[in-house]
Formats: sequence, C-alpha cells, structure tokens
Amino acid sequence: MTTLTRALTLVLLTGCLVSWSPNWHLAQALTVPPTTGYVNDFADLLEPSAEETLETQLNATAEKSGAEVRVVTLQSLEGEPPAEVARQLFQEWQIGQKDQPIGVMLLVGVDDQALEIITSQGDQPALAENFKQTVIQQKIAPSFNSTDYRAGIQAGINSILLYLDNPDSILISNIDGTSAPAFETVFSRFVLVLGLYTVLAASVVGVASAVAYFGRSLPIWPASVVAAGLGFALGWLSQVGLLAALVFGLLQLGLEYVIRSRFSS
Amino acid sequence: MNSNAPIHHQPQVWFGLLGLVSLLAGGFSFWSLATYTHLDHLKTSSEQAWEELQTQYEPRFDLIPVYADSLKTVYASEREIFDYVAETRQNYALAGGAEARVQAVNLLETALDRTQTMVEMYPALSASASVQAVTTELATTQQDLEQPIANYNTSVERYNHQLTVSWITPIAELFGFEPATRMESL
Repeated sequence: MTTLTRALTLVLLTGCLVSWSPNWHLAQALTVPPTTGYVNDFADLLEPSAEETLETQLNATAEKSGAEVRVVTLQSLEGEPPAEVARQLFQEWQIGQKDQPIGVMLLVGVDDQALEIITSQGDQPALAENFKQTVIQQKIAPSFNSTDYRAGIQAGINSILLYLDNPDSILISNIDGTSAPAFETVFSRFVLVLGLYTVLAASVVGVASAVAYFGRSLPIWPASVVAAGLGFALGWLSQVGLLAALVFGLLQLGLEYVIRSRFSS
Repeated sequence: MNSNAPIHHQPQVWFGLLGLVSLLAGGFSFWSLATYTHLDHLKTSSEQAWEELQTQYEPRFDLIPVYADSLKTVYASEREIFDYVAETRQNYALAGGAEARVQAVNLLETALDRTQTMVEMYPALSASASVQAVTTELATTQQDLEQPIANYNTSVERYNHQLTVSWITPIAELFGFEPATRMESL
C-alpha cells in the first residue's frame, strides 16, 4: 500500500467517524450563536421594545424563582428536530444543566414553522407534555396564524410562568382554570360511609345476640339498660343520643326475648 | 365411641364467635366512622375559614383589573405583558371549590408580586399617578387580609397535621382526604 493510498484511507476513515458522531451533523448544519440574554430573537420577529419588556419580565422571573426561561427565534432550524436544536443551545449556553435551576425554552423556527416548548435535562421536573401542547395550540398558535408574533410569544411566556409558579396546581392541568367536580370521590365516600354504618349495625346486633345468649340466666333488664346507655353514648357523638338509646335498648330487649324462647338456660 | 360421628358444635361456640367477630368489626367500623367525622369536621372548619377570607378578598380581587388597566394605559405598546396577572384573575374566577380557589389566589398573588417587580423596574410606570393610587389601595387590602389569612392557615395546619397522625393516616387515605393548601402571605 503506497503512502498516498494510506493517507486517502485515513482521511476516509476519519470522515466516516466524524459523520457518525451525533453532534456533527447539527454542528455542520446549524451554527450555535452566542446568547443575547433571555430573549434571543435571531429571526427578528420582535420589536426592540417588545424584546426589552420580555427580557425584563424573564429577568425578574430568574431573580424570583431561579427558573431560566428563554425565548429563541431562528429563521431556520436547517431541518433539525426542534428538541435537538434546543438541546444543543442548552448545552452551549450552559442553561438548565445538571445541578442548575430548570431551563425552559420557547423555540420558534420561522421557515420550518416549528413551535416548541422544551425543558432542559436538569434534575428539575419538566413541564407536563399536555400543558405544553395546550399552550402552543391555544395561546401561541392563534396569534402566530395572524403573524402577531409578539402577542403569541407573550401569551406563551405568561402561561409558562404561571405553570412554573405552581406546577402542582390543579388549575394548571386545565389551562382554562376550570376544575371538574370530584363526583367519583364524593360518591365512593358516600358508599364507604354507608357500608361502614351497615357493618356497625350488624356488629351491634351480633354483640347484642351474644350478650343475650350468654346472659340468659340473668334478669332481662340489665343488658337492655346497658345497651341503651351504650346507644346514648355512641349516638351522642352524632347528636342523636336519645334515639340511639331507644333503638339499642329495644333491640337488646327483643333479642333477649327471642333467644330466651329458643335456648333454655 | 365412633370417631366418624358428625361434630355438633355447641351453640355457645357459635355465639362466642359471633360476639368476637362482631366486636372486632364493630370496633373497626366505629373507629373508621369516628375518624372520618373528625377529619370531615376539620376540613369543613378550614373551608368555612376560607369562605370568610374569600369575602374579604373580593375588594382586592376587584382591584386587579383596575391595576392591569392602569398599567396598560401607561405602557400601551406592550400591553400583553400585563395579561399575565389578568389571566391568573380569570383562573380565580373560574376555579371551583375552596381548594382550587386557594391555589388560584396563590397564583394570582405571585403574578401580582411579579408585576409589581416589573413596575419598579420601569420609572414611567411607578411614577404614574393612577398606578400609584391603585398600588396604595392594594396595600390597604393587604393589611385587611392579614388576620383572615392567619385564621385560615391555622385551621389548615390543624387539619393537615391530623392527616399525618399515624392512626389517622390510613382512614384519611381510605376516604380520600387530601392535604389543604396554605394561603401564602401577601
């Protein structure tokens, strides 16, 4: 093998290895620009005053909560998936990396008609997927369809900040803020309470029967009086003491008669 | 003696078993129902405290659109930024139930706090007479709410604490009792 052949082989092999590298294609297709702050309007969609307002709002957010929310507009993503572009930007700009506060990016690719909300790969929990889709479809896309980019981006950022303020809020699961009535919870609770009262009633009858059987050699009234007293004590908790005393006393009396007539002492 | 003869249990065995099982089942159901009643009472108390707080919160709630409008008037070119606080107000208006409303108020107050930070950053906004007037009114409502918020948080803490008691926790989970949300201080 001549020196020239060896050199050509080396160049070919190196080329193959580099092109297999996952970042190579992106690095070749998309040059990552240096960040200009919280608002990176490379596609020039926003007026300078709108940029300044957003920058102030996002700066205040970072100071208050530590969350780094970035707006990035690019003329073209060069055919790359938005998530990959965002990952590269997060990495290059050192945002939302491990042990850092959460990074959220609203990414707009004008030529690709790409619109994505992406969270960094840090330790913090990401935004819920259904929330992102709702924000894009309901808050951003309508304004973008009428080429009002400022209004769309501002509406999207407002919703994201709302989420970051309280991700556990039950209101966030529905962007419109309505919360469905917990009918199932109320119903199952009602069934459970009813079931427990039934068990309690059956248990009272069971205990009363056992008492009546084992005490059938004694006079009939003491057990009934004790049962009435117990009924009053239990019923007092539910403010139906007298009624419960009457029911418990009569129940015990009835059971005493039935059991004494069937089982002689 | 025939060992294959059927065994006839004495009635006292059956009544003994009946009494024992009934005692255990009755004890469990009574304990469950008593715990449920106790938690339900605490939950209702915290909801009543919220109702009182909510009544006193209304004037502050009514000031939010006035505040947002006064900011938009001064800073008309970027009026959408103030929709943030208006959206959280809408959340509050739409929220159903005490728990959802407390969360909505917490969000609304965070949004208000953030908007006030923005106002401080823009001299034109903070210098506006209309903005200053509403800001003063907001501060007044804040003072009026201190005691109702303290009362509500006390009842919530009492309820939430009970949910963490070891012998109450299983029943609370069985009945689906969830911790209540505290109201953040304004």
